Amino acid sequence: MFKLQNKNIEKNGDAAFYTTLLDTAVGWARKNSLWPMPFGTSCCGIELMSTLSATYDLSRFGAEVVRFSPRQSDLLLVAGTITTKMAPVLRTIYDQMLEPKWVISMGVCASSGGIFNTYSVLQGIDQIIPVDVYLPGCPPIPEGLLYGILYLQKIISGEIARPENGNGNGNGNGIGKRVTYEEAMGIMNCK
Amino acid sequence: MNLKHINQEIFNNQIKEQVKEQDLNITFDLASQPILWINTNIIPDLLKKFDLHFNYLTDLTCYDNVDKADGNKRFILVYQLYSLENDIRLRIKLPVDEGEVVPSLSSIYLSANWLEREVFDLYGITFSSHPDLRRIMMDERFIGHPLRKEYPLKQRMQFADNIKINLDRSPTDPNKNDKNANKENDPLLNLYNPEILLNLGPSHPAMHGTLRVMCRLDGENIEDLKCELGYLHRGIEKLGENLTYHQWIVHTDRLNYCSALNNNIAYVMTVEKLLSINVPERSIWIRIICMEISRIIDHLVCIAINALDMGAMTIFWHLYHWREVAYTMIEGLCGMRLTTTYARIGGMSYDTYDGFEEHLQDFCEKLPKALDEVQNLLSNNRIWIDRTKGVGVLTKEQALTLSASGPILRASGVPFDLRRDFPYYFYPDLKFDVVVGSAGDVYDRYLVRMEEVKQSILILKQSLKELKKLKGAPIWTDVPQIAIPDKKDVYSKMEVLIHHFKIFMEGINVSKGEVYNSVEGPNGELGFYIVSRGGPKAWRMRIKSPSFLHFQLAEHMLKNEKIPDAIAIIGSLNIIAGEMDR
Repeated sequence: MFKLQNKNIEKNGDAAFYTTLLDTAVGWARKNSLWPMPFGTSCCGIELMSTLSATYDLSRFGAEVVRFSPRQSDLLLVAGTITTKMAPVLRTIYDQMLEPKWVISMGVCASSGGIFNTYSVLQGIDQIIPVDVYLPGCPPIPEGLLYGILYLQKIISGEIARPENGNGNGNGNGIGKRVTYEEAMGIMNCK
Repeated sequence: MNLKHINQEIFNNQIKEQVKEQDLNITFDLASQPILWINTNIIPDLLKKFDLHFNYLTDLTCYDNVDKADGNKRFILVYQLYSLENDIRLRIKLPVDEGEVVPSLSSIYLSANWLEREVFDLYGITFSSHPDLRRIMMDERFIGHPLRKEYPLKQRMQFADNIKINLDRSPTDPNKNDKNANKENDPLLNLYNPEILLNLGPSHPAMHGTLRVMCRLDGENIEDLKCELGYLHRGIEKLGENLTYHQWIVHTDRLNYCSALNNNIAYVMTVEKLLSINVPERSIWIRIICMEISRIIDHLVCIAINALDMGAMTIFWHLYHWREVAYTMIEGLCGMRLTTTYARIGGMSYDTYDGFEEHLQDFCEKLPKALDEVQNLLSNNRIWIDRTKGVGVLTKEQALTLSASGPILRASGVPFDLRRDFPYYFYPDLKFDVVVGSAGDVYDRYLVRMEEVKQSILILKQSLKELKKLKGAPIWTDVPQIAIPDKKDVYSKMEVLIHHFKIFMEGINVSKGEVYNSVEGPNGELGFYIVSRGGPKAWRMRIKSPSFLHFQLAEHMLKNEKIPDAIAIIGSLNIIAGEMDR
């Protein structure tokens, strides 16, 4: 990523300089200082706490500063079932977050409704907010969440293209399509 | 024979005679518990007539009688009563037609308030003289009653904004206006405004992700509040009516996800009672061990999170390490950390792994030392004591009328533990103490949980000895219609393959009947009430969840407390949203 201009620089503390693209430098800084906002509603929230705890230690990847205020965080970690009653709350939280922001959908409930195909469960949060990384598992083990965050870091640094409307990793089934504000409001207003 | 059981039998005989005099009908369920049928809500009169004090409302629920199997009326209301003095259960059934108004029981049992709201929401039965009859799980704008049989499982309604909660505008304290009158001259002192409400949750760190409390404040005192739940209502009970008994085991994991093993076993035990089968001894010992491990990890999570909410982060790091050790064992037992699905109807999915005994022994020896360290950090800590002692006091009477159970009821000084008072499995043979508190505050709840973990370790040590004696013994019941065949045979024998296919594609055929069974879960009485009309699916799958009733406690306990204390109180109640909202 950073190109060392003079390979003969010695590690003696002398001043040295690197040249790189501004985008790359910003991406590098952003990916290593993710501030997650945990939206843990159910079982996945417990595994999220395990990931934060001493054994798995999310701080190794620079993402341990958990902020419960959407204004201060840039990664929305949706961990758990989102019911139709909760959906407006989630959309509000997402709207309150400042750009740049990313979303990880942790577990199958958040990604697709999972085993709860019932009268009260939203069938996937990608109907109302755009999602960057989907994590399978019910719930994903902490290693799975770590993998998801490392995958997101690759998206942030530009190694992997971010799923966008019409391109990205969308396969034509609506998966990977980023929902817009108007589309989300349309879904939420219909009865 | 246990003395408690004789009491229930004597009561059954007594009630038969009494009922004859009053022209009431009485039947018995598959676990020989009495069911009293009444035509109008005469429960207050009935309670007076019985000498026994049915002072505890275990559960209040309803099931749809659209097939007219239980009389001509559309719904059957079910009241589960319990007498703490004699350890006797009584189930009262009241058939209700559509549009009929039933007198509310909330004047006798405060806990009936939310339970009746739930029946109103999900079945559409109205209660008269109810203090606050509105929807509880679903949005207020929702149309239809989801647990009615005609409501489609997948019919959803989405609304664009969060539900609005209105509090009564008039201040509850009549002296409040006088107090403000004195301050009126000084605008700096007159900051009180009943129009200003503070919303806590559902996305709030101390509200566990899904609880919501709307409060009106006077300074930092919570003057009036309303709790809102249903943000995790996933329709698990409705799914229970649409899935076979085996398929539904996975849903029990997701009720109380901090102690999934306990839920698996409680549910499977209920279905086994419905089928009137017994499981082998080794299986029962494995189950007892699993239940105690899950009790330990649930209590550890509760203490850790309660301390974390109050700023004591060290406890969280420390206790989560021990939870990970337990999870490693659970992962070895069934291949999953959190959502275990370990128990099966008639047995266990796997036997214990090689080396499990040594791991458990090691766990039992090392955990008490860690607990001592945590206790050294907390129990005599000036800050912890100041934050918790005398905070959120729940008196004995309040706890009983609000149907609290588990550590919360015991912390209030009621020595009630289903493992001792309504025993199941081999608990009567095990030596352990029922931990009882006295003050009923947050500090006592913490102490009770801490001591219960130690008692669970004692149970684990005793069970491990018994388990070692039964090495190699069968873990599956010998009833061929129910026992899942061994995978080896499935792949090599035609008949066994067909049998395996039939069990999983059609399900087990359960005869007509009903049963209520409960276990002492980590945070209270966890019960399953299954009504079967025959066939592989339940007609009604009711979960009696302790957390639902414990959140109702919060509505009573938070009044006149300060906001930081509210965080401590809600943490000490150990409300698990999956179990509360179902």
